[in-house]
Amino acid sequence: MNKWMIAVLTATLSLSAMAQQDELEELPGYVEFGELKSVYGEPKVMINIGGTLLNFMGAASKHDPEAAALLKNLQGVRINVYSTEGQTGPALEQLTKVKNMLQEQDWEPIVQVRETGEEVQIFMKVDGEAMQGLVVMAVDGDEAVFINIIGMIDPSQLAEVMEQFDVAVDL
Amino acid sequence: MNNSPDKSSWEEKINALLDGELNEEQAKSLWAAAERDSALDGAINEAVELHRVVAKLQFNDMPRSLGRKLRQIPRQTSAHERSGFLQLRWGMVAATVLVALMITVSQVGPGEPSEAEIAQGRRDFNLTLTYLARASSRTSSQIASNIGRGFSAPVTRHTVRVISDQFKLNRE
Amino acid sequence: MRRKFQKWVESYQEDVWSLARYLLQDASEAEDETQEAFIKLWNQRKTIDPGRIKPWLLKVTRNACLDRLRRRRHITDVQTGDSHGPVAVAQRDEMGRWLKAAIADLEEPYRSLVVLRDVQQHSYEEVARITDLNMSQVKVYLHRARKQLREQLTEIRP
Repeated sequence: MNKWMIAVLTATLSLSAMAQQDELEELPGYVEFGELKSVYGEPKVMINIGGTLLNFMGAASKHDPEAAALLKNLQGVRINVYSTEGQTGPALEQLTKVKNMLQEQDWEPIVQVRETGEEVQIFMKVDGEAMQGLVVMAVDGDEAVFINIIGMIDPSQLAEVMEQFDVAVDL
Repeated sequence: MNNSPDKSSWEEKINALLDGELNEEQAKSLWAAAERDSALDGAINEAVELHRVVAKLQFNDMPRSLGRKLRQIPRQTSAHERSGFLQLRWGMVAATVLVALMITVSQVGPGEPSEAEIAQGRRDFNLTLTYLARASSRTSSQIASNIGRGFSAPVTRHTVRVISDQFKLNRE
Repeated sequence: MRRKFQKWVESYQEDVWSLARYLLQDASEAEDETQEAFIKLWNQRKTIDPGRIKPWLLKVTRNACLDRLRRRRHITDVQTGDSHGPVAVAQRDEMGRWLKAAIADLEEPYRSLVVLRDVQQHSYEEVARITDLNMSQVKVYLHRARKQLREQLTEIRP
């Protein structure tokens, strides 16, 4: 493959990802987690699911109306997971930055756990009776996890869906 | 030139004279021979005159417009090169945008995602929820101490329900 | 680089033009070839030894003109007459005009050698470089060309 083809494909994929990113960035529940790639390298998990695909996933869950309803209202799901390999400093620093930013933007802190070298922060963005966004940040000696769920989230629905998706807590 | 030792040698000497290649002594010798030989003298004068006239025969009728055209070559050539470069560059950009649009439309546009994409989406969503549950489980003890062990028990298994409950508490 | 190029144009345009004019005997074609030579110079300016710009230009011009002449001869062989010959031209009253025509009638490489050496006064070394001949060939051919011109001149003189 010549360099032009590579450039075109790279640009194409970047533009495609950028299109989804741009779509999500406009939403009130979107949170920018900042840059940790320069410290930890490429994330071990990076997921960006846009609203369109979530809608189709909901439509495909005909046998589970709750999951379908939840997915239909979700506009985006993002997760970045980095391997910290014992170096939690930069990730904790980034977590604090994001936490301060969320507090400035009127996100509600739900849970904050701090232990030596570990920290978990959960924030919600609430608009009236519904959540617009959920942020979970967890850093320990193994991983730094940044989750952002965007859209109209009904927490009870979310719990039901987790059961339906048969989520295992242990990875 | 009848007395000349060799006509061809005179030719050579005349050419050397025209080219300024004779030293002073050689030139004197040639002119001395020419004084004695009228044919040689005529040949030398004719060659020198011809040479002098020819030296003035440069074509001096170059059009002024040609001079202007020559001076404009760098600007015109560079503009042409830039134009070609820009065409290539914009062509690449246009091609890139076109392909990107095709792929973007196929992914997030009005077209339906394939079954494979939906299945991958479910796997990704599941993985996200797993991380969500894992993070929440770490917080369960903290929540238990905050809101009571009885309430936290079901949370340990489905921590998102904890978030839900916490949300309800916040709303209250 | 543009300033240098303008300097080259100022210094060499007359020689290039005159060589093309002699070889082609057509002002319009000479203009084309002069332009072409300088365009080539601009395009190849980074690869040419700055000290040899003039011989490079004249060589390019000469080669292009000879190519053009070969193509033209192929087309106009039938029309070739004696209008530039010494007898016809003898009736013209200007020595210079006759000589230009006489030079134009010389065969190659004589014609180029006379123009480059006797009209434009380039050194033998430069002429050899422009024409791809060695020094002794340049001298021998140039002497023959001069002789031919003198003989033609003798013919037309009363």
